[in-house]
Amino acid sequence: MTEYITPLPGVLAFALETAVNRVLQLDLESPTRVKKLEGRLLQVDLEGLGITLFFTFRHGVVRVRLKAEGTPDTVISGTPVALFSMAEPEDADWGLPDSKVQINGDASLARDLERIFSKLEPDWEGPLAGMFGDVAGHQLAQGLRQGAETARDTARSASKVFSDIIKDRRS
Amino acid sequence: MEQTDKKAGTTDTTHFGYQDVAVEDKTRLVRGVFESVADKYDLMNDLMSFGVHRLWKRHFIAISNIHPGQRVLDLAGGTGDIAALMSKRVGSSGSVVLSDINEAMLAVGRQRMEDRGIVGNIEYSLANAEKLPFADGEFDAVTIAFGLRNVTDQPVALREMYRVLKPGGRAMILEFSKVEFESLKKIYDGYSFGILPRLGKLVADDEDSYRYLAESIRKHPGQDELADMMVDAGFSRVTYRNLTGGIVAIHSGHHD
Repeated sequence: MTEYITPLPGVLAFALETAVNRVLQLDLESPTRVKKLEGRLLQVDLEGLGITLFFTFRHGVVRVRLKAEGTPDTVISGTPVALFSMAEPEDADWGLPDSKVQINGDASLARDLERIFSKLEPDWEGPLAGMFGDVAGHQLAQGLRQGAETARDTARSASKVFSDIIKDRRS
Repeated sequence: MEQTDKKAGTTDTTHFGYQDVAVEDKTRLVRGVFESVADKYDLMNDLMSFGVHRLWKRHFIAISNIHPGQRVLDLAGGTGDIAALMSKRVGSSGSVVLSDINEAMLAVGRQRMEDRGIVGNIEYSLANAEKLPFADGEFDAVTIAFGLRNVTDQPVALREMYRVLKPGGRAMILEFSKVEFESLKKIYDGYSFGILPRLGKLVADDEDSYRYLAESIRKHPGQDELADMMVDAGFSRVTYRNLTGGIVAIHSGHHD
């Protein structure tokens, strides 16, 4: 197990776990989907940062830790940018041999995770309506949906530009 | 709860904070704590959570999916914070039963509800969560907020919650839980055991009760352990979500 000098990897694991579960909790079906991964262990090596994260799944919750017991079912390695492309279902070429993401072990676990996020249908409206009332909640939810779509488009474009730059430099 | 061999002449024990006490004594000891803090209960919660307990409770109800017309039960309802929020949700066509084992807490809760004009769809029940005086399948939802850790036999209470739920009904538990993020854990422990009891002495002249509260939080099952207990009690679709880094967690399960 890697021992870290600074608390930053722990902060990253904590932030990632919080963010992933916060998004998953917006879809009532997510816990059922995540439960199907129960008992499996995913290791993610963040190249360039020298950080290894372990993902476990229990009771519909994703846990991210710096240590884990047992042998990982799947090890995914890549730079943070390459790994982020996994969250983009339209660019689902991360599993191909020339991808910048390396997968060792059971690749179906990575595919299952991708499916969970691609099927995600966040219910922005429910919690917002509870806080701000039905009308304001609905309007805020619409804004968030549009914002999320815009952010996804921007990320997609940025990823494309970045990958084009890399290709240009290589050729 | 620790099971011991009665044939060997020993008794069943359970924890009361960090102390091991006889099972039959815990209910009385917990009652003593809450009778001692009843009139300052809100102040206590504010001290323990920097006032964030109000946000946790609002979030708890916001995600409860409780609808108008439903009949819901709030166990260990104390001063009625949760029942007041649920009363608005179920509306005049629904009903909320505010229940607590402690007469002093229930009296404070009843008075506060009446002072806030929350009447009509509220009932009150002096009840032990381990032996609920309700029929099978009577409620659409059962909640317990910051109460389960004070229950002597938690598996029995969970089974009772399951029993009184209608098929399709949902139980929700808001409770202090385990912080696993090391940096936050150090700060949290320092506050709970170093500062909180002193504040308890200063504000309520009751250091022991506040120390018990901090200890009882640490003795309470962690997120996965409580979820396992819910599964054992019969609940399906059990899951949880952490709030504020796991200082508290909301567990939910269904009676399918």
